Amino acid sequence: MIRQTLVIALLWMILGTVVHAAGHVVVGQGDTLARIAAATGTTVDALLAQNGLEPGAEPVVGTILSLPDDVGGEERPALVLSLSGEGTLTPLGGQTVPLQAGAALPKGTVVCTAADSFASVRLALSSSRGVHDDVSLLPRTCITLQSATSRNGRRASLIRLQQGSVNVPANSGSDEPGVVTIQTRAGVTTAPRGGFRVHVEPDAARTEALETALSVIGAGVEQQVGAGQGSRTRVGEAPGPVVALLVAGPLLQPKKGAVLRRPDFGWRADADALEYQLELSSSRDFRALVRLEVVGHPVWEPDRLLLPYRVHTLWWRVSPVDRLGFVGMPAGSRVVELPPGMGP
Amino acid sequence: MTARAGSEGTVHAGVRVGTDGAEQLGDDAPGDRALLVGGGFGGAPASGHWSLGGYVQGALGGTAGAMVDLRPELRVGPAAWQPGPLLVLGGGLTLGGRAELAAPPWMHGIVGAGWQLPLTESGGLRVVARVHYRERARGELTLGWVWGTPPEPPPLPEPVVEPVAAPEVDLSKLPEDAEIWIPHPWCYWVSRDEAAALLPELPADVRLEIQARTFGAAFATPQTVGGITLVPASSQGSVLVVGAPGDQVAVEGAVLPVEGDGVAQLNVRSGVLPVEVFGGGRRVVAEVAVESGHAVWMRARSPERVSVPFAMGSGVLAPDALPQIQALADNIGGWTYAIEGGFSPEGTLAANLALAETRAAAVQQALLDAGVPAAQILMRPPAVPEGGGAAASKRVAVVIPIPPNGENQ
Repeated sequence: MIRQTLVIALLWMILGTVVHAAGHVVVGQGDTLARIAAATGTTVDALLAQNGLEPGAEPVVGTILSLPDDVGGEERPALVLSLSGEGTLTPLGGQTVPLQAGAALPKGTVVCTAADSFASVRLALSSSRGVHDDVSLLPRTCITLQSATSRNGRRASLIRLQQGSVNVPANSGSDEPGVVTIQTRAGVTTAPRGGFRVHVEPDAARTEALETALSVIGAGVEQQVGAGQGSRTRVGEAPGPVVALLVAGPLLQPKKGAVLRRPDFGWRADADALEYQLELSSSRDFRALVRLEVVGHPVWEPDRLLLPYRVHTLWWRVSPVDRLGFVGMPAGSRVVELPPGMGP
Repeated sequence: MTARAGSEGTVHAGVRVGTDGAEQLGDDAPGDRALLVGGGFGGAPASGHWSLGGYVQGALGGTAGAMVDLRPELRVGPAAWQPGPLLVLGGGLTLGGRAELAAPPWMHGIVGAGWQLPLTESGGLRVVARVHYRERARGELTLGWVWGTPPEPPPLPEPVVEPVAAPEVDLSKLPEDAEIWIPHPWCYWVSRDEAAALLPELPADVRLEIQARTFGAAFATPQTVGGITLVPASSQGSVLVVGAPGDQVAVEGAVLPVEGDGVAQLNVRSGVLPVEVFGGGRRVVAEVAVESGHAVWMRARSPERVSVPFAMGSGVLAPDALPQIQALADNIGGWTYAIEGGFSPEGTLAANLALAETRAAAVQQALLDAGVPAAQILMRPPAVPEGGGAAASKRVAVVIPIPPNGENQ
C-alpha cells in the first residue's frame, strides 16, 4: 500500500497538473518547462525555441505553449458541421465569405455567427475510432480556430473566443480524452472531456462546467471547477469564486414525443431563477442548435418560429439562469415530432 | 491432418490381480508378496490422438527375486489435456527373476482400456485397466497423473481485406448553382462543391434532395450520380398558423379554417407570402418568409373584446362606428359575438339598464345589416359598471368574441 502510494505520488510529481496533448500545452499550477518537456516527449530547448522564450524563462500559469511539430500531432482542418441561419468565415489573411455547412476551417480561420444563427464546428478528429470534439457557436459569436490536432488517439483543440458564447459537448462516449481549450481575453478554460460552456462578457468570461470538472485560469492563477459549478474571470484578475449552478425543474409541455402543432413550451418555475434559457436542437446531443431563447417566465410561446421540417424530430431543454448570470444545468431534454404532411 | 508438436508425460502406480483372485503386489507367484515399483512415460508427437509410452515395473522380494518388466505400449486416446476414453496395446519383456521366468516364455502381451479426466488446463487423472497375459491372464489397474503441453494453435490466416473503393461522386453534372440537402446531422442546404466533401461521410443508400434555379429536364426525375440518388426538391415550405378554433386563414387566394386545436397547416411555395388570419373580429396580416424545406409557425393572438362607443344618453349608433361594425362583420370567421350593453353612472339605474339594452340592440342590428348571421350573435344582459374609470369608456356596447368551443372571454 505504501509502495503504491509512493508510485502515485511520484507520477503526480512527474506529471504535475500539465494538461498536455498534441499541438499545445496549457501551463498549469506548478508546471515548469522541464516538467512539460518530460510530459510531452520533447526538450526544454525545443519548447524555448518553439515559443520564442529566452533561456531560463519559465511561463506563468495559463500560458499556452505550442509544441514542436514532431510531437505536436496531425493538424487537420476543422469543419463546419451544421449551420442554422447565417455566418461568416474569414481565413487567415483572406477575404470574409458567407459561412456554409461543410466548409473547411484551417488554422487561423475566424468563424462568426449572425443574430439568431447557430453553427456547429467539428474540431479534432481521431480518425481511427471516429471520435471527435465539437463546439457549438451561439448567435453573435466569433471564434478563431487556433489548432485542432490529433496524435496517438490524443486530441487537442484550441479556440480563441472573441465574443459571444460557445457550448462544448461532452465526449462521454469515448475513453479517449479530447482536450478542448477556450481562450478569452480574461483567461483560459480547459477541459479534458468537454461538457462546458464559455461566455464572453464585458471585461470578463464566464465558464459553466456541466458534465465534467475543468480548469479555469486567469492572471496566473488556476482554479478547479467541478461539474455543476461555474466561475467568472474578470480581465486581469484571478478566477472568481466557484458557484453552484441551478438545476432546472421538470419540463411540462409539450409532452414527450408530442407533435409540435402549437409551439407552446412550459416548465416548472424555479424560485431562484432570474430567467430561463430554452434550447431547441435537431440532434439529441444538442450539438445542432436551431433556436435559443431567454425568457423571464417558465413559458415560451413564440409569435414566429422557423424550423427546417426535414429534421422531423426536435429536442428541447431548459436551463435556469441565476441572478449572477450563470446558466444552470438542464434537468433533461424532451423530444417532439414535427407535424406530418409538411413538404412535398 | 497437419502434425503439431505436443508432448505428454505420465506417472502411475497400480495393483495387479491374478487369475486365482488373490490380490498381489509384485510378481505373479501365488501368495507371494513383493514391492511393486512402476512408472510410465509417453509422448504425443502428433495430433494427440495417440501416444507411445512405456511401463517399467520392478519387483523386489518374494520368491520371484528381483525382476524388471519392460513393457512398451501404444495408447490411443485423447491428449493429456482432453477428457475421454483410451485404449492400450502393448507387449513386454521380463528380465531377472526366477529362472523359469527369465527364459521363454518371457514374452507377454497387454491389452487395456481406460478413461482420462483432466483436472487442470494441462493434465489430470488417467485410470487404465489392463489384461496382462504371460502364461495366463492377469488383471491390472493403474491410476496415474498425466500432464501435457497443448500444441501452439496454428496462426490465424491473415484476413483478406478487399479494397473498398470510395464512392466516386461526380457532382459536376449538376448545375453550378445546385444546392443539395444534406440530412441529419447537418440538416442544411449546401452548395454543389461543398456537398462533395460531405458525401463520403453519408451512408451509401442516402437519397439527397437537390434544387437549382437552372434545372433542366434532366433532373425532373431522380438521378443516380456516383451511387447516390439525387431527388429534385421542390421549393416548398410549410406554414402553421396558430390561432383559435373559428379562425380562418387566407393564403394566395385560398381560405381554409383552422382545425380543432386552433392550428391551420398548409404547404406553400417558398418566398415571402402574405398570410391573413381572421376570426373573432380581428384580422392579422403578416408577411411570412417561407424558406424551402422549412416550416414557419405564425401565431395570431386571440381577439380582444371590442367597445362600440355611444354618446351620453344615446342609444343610436354613431356613423363613425359603422366601419368598426363592418370590420367585425367581415372578420367574424367561425366565431360568435356576445353583445353586452353598458352605461355610465349618471342617471337612474332603471333608465341606464334600458339604455344599455338599446345600445346592445343597435349594435346587434348593425351587425345583422353588415351580414353577420343571427346565429352568430348572442345577446347578454347589461353589465352594471364598477366604480372608477372614465365615464365615456362606459357608454359603450361591448362585443365579446366567443370561439366555437364556447370559451367565454
